[in-house]
Amino acid sequence: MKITNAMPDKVCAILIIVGLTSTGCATVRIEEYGRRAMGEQRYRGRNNHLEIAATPILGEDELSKYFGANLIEAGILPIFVRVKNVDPFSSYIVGKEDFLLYERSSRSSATSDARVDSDIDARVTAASVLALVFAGGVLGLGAAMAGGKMVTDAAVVEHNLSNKQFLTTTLAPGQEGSGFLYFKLPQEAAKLSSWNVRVNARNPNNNEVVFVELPIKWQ
Amino acid sequence: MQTIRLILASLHFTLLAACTFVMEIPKGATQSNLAEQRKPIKVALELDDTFRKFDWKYKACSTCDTFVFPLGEHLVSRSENVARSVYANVVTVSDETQLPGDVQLVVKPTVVKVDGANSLWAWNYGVMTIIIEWKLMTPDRQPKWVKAIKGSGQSEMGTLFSFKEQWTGRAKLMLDDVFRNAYAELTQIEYFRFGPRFSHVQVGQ
Repeated sequence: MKITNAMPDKVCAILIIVGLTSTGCATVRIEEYGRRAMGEQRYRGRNNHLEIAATPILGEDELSKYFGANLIEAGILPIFVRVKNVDPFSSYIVGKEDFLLYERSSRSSATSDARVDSDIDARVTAASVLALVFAGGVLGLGAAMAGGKMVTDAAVVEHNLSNKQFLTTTLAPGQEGSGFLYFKLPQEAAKLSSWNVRVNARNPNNNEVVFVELPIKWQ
Repeated sequence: MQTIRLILASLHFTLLAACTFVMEIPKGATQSNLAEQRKPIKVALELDDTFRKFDWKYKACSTCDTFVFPLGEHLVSRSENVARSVYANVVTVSDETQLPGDVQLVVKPTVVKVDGANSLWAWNYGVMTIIIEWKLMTPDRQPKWVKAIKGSGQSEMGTLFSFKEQWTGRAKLMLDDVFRNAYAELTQIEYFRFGPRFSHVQVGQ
């Protein structure tokens, strides 16, 4: 076989394409967070009706591993929560809109202006995540396919967010529910240090609302 | 020369024009239970217009093609199938004004979200997920049980010639999964907690 000057170029081109597809151009990989039992959570609290445990995800490595993007930079705080019904007689309905996160500036102020909404607008999330993925991606990729890759990466990141989210559930005695809550942080979030997570749960038989609060240190 | 320019201009506009594709999803198999396995409850399955006509539209970017998944008819037939597999007596209604007087429970499914993530490469996997909230209420609209149930379908992206079949197949798997999960959840509810009228309903099958 005669070796021509053109062949090494072709081989190089093929190797570059294979390299790009197998590494840089492969869709972003995101790990499952797993069930994570009550005892494995960083913060725990309970009353006679409910037990709640929570772990905020703050580290850059963990954010990248479980969400594929630094959500904190986009002003989103992900908190994994697990709720258990410890009432032997009643069921409780809990949805993501029943969770509140607020600043604990003093013992007497149960709710304050620092309270943030747990129900992030889907478009805001998508835009923030897309901006993050673009910011990270532009540095590493110069090829024309980078645009397509970033769009698919953003879709994967966004799909993962909704896939891991806490979903509305009815907890019969002894049952547990878990998932991530995404709180949209206010601008001055970096100055805040102590937060409370509060869950309101409703007993469907008498419409009574019970709640549990959990203090969280924001570092 | 002018002809070539005209052809190039036409080609340019053809490439820029985004199209809309309707993605027809294959029908799913029906499931049925023996009468004695069903819960001895008369329910009204409330399917409103939003649910009946639900379409999921996917558009990767503002200038990209739009893919429309007409999910409504599948949601209706599968919801009816699940309800008739779980409960002994089911009537389908469009809104609360049509409730028969002897109904014990109203079962209302609502689509919370449909979502998907695709890959650039034919041999990589794409995923579609749907979340449907099932609400069980008394005839006077008091919620007794609410649960958002998730289902996913995953398959290879496929090539230019097979991506439509792969994608609609993925949508079918997603619907199979979410209604299989709904059936499992609805059969496991502790109905006796809803009040004395339901004390005879056993847990499980």
